[in-house]
Amino acid sequence: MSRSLAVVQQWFQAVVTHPGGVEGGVESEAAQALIRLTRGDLEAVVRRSRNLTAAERIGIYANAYYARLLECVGECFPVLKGAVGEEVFSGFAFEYLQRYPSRSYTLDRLGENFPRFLEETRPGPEDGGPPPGEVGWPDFLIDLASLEWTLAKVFDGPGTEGQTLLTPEALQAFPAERFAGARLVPVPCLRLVVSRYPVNAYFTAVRQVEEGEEIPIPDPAPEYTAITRREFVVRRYSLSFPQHALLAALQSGATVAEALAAAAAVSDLDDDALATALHEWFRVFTAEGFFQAIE
Amino acid sequence: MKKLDEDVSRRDFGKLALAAFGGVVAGSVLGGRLLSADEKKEAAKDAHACCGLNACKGEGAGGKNDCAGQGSCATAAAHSCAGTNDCKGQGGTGDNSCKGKGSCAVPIKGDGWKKARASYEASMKKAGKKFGPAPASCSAS
Repeated sequence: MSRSLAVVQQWFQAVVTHPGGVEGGVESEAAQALIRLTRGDLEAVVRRSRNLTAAERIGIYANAYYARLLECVGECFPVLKGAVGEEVFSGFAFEYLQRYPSRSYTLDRLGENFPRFLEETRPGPEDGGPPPGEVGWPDFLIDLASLEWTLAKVFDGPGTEGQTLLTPEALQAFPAERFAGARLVPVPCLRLVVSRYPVNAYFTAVRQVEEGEEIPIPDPAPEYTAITRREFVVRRYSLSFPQHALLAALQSGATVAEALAAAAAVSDLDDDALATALHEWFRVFTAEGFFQAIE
Repeated sequence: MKKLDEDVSRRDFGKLALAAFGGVVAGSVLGGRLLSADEKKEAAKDAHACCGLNACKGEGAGGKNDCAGQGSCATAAAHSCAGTNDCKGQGGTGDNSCKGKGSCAVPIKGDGWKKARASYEASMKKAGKKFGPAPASCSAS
């Protein structure tokens, strides 16, 4: 029976990319809709070679496809992979690809559900995890995955390169008395990450040690991090809780006054000290390109 | 207990807003010449140390991150060798034991976390930290 090349190509893709392997791929709805076959009929589409059956020959492509995807998942989460080791990471990545098969034309999106996958499969107390509602060791891995995915998205997402951000001229033209009611518009690449473990500090430590040197896994402690990109370089900033509250409010569209109230509500500093701190925080945030406009 | 609402209402927001505005103006003058991020120390060592993935590392002219922000620096180029290394890493233990069998894509439910706990426990022990015992069903393999 003759089939068009297009049909055979689509069938081949459906079989090779199926998370259940060649067997599952041949029996899948997508493949069956294109070429109705039982496993034993496979050689009606793909010839066997002297040494390999049709299933084995297709299996080379199916396995290679998954091997490449596993490598790609690993490249999205290099520090996590280093923390748990290649074998453990491969176990996670393989199960992840079963649950969240690649659906996009671009590998850029391959890891987007990985932190969610870890959260969904987080072990309970019966499997060695912490009691319900408590922060425990699985959260270190989940938070690290979230941080690394955020870094990947900031690296690859929209930025402000080539654009003019807040200039002294624009600010000098802005009436100071209107500042409290104004909104500082964050750049599109600014992300705020809240972690249960100090994963950003861990990430920094891993990047700074010599290859092969181990970094001890930290104890749990809340951590707040801002991530942005400037001149094509992704940058990470450790934040205090009041700084996080301030930026989170601004990012949600609050006015400066509302953001100041959010920061003040969680700060122990008196007004004089907080005013000094705010001056410094805004100086740094602005200089580092956190804001693109004032409205 | 501290009453946050009262604390906030007592704040001198005029003073705080003025300080904040001064900071924004001062920062705009500095514009991009301040490097206070965590990767400050890394910058000199590796121009790409700040990026969480190596996909495009060093591919741009002069080792710059030219592909950042283009939304398309997928790792495809690094993985164009399809057809080689069949089955690599797909075995339950990450080895090539299933090579040539054509159906090594067998999910191992929960195996990642089980092994992760063993790895984590080993790491904590090495660092001299306490770690609760694993339940019988989750012992180190």
